[in-house]
Amino acid sequence: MSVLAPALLGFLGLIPVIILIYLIRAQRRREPVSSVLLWRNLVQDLEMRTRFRRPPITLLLLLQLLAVVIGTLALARPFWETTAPPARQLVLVVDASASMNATDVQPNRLAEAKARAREAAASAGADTAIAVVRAGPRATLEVATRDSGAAIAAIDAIQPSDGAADMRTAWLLAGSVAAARPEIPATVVLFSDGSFLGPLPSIPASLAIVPIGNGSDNQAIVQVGVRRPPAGSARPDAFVRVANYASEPVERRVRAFGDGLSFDEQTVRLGARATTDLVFEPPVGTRVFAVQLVGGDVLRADDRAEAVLPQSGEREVLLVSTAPEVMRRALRAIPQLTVREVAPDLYRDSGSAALVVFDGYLPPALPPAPLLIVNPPVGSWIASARIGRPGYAIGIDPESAVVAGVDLAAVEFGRVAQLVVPSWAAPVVTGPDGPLILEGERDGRRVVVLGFEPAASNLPKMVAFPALIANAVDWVLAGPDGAAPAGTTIRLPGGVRGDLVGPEGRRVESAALALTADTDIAGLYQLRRLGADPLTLFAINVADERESDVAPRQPAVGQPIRPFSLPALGVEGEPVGIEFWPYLAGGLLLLLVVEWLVYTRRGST
Amino acid sequence: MTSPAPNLRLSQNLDSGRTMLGDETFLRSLEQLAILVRRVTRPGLNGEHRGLTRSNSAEFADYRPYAPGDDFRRIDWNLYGRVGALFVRLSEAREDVAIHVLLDTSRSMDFGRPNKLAYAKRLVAALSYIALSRLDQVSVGALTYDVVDRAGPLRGKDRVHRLLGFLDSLSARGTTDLNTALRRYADTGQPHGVAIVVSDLLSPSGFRAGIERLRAARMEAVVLQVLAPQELAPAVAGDVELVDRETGEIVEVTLTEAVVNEYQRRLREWTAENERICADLGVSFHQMSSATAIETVVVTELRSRRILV
Repeated sequence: MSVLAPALLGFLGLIPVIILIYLIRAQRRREPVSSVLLWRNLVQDLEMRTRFRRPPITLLLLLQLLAVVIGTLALARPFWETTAPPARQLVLVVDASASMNATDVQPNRLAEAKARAREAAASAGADTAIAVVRAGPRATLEVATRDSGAAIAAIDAIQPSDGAADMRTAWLLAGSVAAARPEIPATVVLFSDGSFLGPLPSIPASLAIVPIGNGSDNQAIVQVGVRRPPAGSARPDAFVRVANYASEPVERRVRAFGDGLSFDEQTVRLGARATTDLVFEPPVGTRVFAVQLVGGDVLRADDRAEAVLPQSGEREVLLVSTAPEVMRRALRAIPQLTVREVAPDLYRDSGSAALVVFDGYLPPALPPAPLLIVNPPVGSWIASARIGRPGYAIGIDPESAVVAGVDLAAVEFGRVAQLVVPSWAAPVVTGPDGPLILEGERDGRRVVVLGFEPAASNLPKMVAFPALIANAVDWVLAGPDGAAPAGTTIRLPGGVRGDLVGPEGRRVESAALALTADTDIAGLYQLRRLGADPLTLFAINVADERESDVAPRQPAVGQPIRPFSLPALGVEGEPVGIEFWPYLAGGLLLLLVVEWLVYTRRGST
Repeated sequence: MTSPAPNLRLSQNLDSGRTMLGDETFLRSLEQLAILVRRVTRPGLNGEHRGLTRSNSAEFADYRPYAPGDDFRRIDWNLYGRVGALFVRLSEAREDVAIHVLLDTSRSMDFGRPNKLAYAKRLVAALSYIALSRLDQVSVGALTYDVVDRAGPLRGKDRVHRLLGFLDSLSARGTTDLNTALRRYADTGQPHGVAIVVSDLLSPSGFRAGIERLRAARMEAVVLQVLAPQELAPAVAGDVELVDRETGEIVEVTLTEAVVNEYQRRLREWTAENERICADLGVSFHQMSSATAIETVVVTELRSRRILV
């Protein structure tokens, strides 16, 4: 309950006045008697010897006090918050992408956008339903409320990111909020610098865009990559692309770091809106390569980039097979891989192997490590039957890393199994009788299934076989080495538990099985156990040319955009609410009648 | 039996400011009554008041044998002629009784609804009318802290108008001191008869000494206490300042039910004390409310108390 005229509650001050009157009246009311002979010292404790005393609690006094309270409440015009539908909807979409961290407006674009969004929320009336959508690497509905205070709090809580905004999803989310109650007119207001991919789809609401930002003076490292040392070299290569998005040429120094120590510095001259590529050679043994633009511009997040070099060191492969010769040869050809063999009947899951290869055998329970399943036994959960005729590849997934650079055209697959494609797997190579090779992720680890017996085909005699096995091993063992753009969902190694620590030591929320992690902030991420070396390292960079190109742009939207002005959203008329002062006034009249009756009755007795 | 006095005011409104007696029926019933006198009579003029002793008045009552020393003017010679023995004629005494009606006119009597003083005046008028009807000698005194006014002695019903006029002229004034006022009245040289004191007895010094002084002056006394209904049963009225009409003294009190109950307990004790004093002195006592009809008090209550016969 609220009141429209709180100042009139001051009439409650009449309560002490009435009590004072009663006190005075009680002091001065005299009753003549023939003699006080029998009244003297009658009841000592009931005599009123003090000048100021408690007023007599009479029905009349209580009625008068109640009348003051009711009358004052009526004057203050109380009302209940209405539960009637809102008169309008206001959806505020705040761009929280990397470019919104630009400091061309003070303190930065996101702060400016939040300030403008706060103004809009504060100017909305009580009859307006407000929703706040954060357009970061993931679009989230922060709040949907009729309380402008709650909306402002949600706006204040919006955090920046170093990734590109998923504006399309945010836009659709805003549209779905508006479409949820089509009978209520909705306005979607976007607070953004326009640095996102368009065009935005049409949504059932009137649109307004508040442009944020006015500068373009920014240089960025838009790409960084490292690769393993080429044959004959111990030093890896690091590739860096630097871009200038300003309209004037600039000269910037680029400093390179290996595990935090500067080892090289180059000066680049960049033309207006031009790029250049640089190559660095990190020292041998470097784990993390970083590059930094020296000096400042309007967006600092894209002035630095990092990359994690491919991890070196021996990894153990457990080969479970009754006839391991073919697979042993292929596996031993892969560098930094140690092969341990065990017969199926002696197989126990020790958990130490980085990769387990089941050749012609499948245990009842699969280990948590990545798997390469070769020639699964018929009748297992993956193979239903044996096909009598040899197979050959008629369909190959060109996007699959497992078959990248592998020529399977001349391969004749012998003793092919009829594979049952699980929901978590996808065919990579398909033959006339069904899939021949599958890949997928199950329970947090990658699995590749070769649905044929290599020894019964001509594949082992071809160069494609070790390439295929090497690709499969690389794919199932692949971690998030290298670098990825901010906002990317990173897949973490299966079967490994630990704390995911982000830039500046911040703990990062990750999925329950530590499979994926959200990476809104650029920097180096570590999956680690307490007191141990990092299990996994990966780098997150801005690495998005649209975000680094901070020049404000007009978003492309598939419907008209009207100018946005705060007064259009201002409060119109009285606040929404059900006033009930007339009922109080009626009650007051009734009370006065009762009071009069009590008064006259008392006076007559 | 004589007819009622003509031109008597018959209105029964006690608050009219004039003293009234009542209607004709009430007057006739008063004429049937007499004030009971137990022992005190005055020799001299024979009134119609029937005494408790035989006398030698003209109204024959009996004979007794002659004894030496008897007044032989009382010898019945006709009887001697018939029976040959001397007998003395005896007659029933018709005694002349002085009735003193003493009315408390202090300011404490000017209180209550119905007003105590107006009520008491009417009671005095009724008692005086009874006495005048019996050819008794009636005196009326107004008492406060002294005898402030008086009327009489009066005799005969034709004096009732003067009596009523006197009562009308009385107003409440002064403080109450019954002991002093009764002593002064007893000392005025009329030490005989019946003294009927009509008062609320709200005298700080009491009334015992005054009654004793009357008794010492060979007067028979009757005490009639008049209280207002508001004094007998005060209302619960919350916080009040009770102001004494005579002294102006103020008592602050919260008139709750408990306090009123305590007051009534104290009133009962006071009344019992007054009754005990009167009993000790051989004096009749009767308490009445000014709300009780005069007719009821006179015809029923005073007769049942053997104050009137």
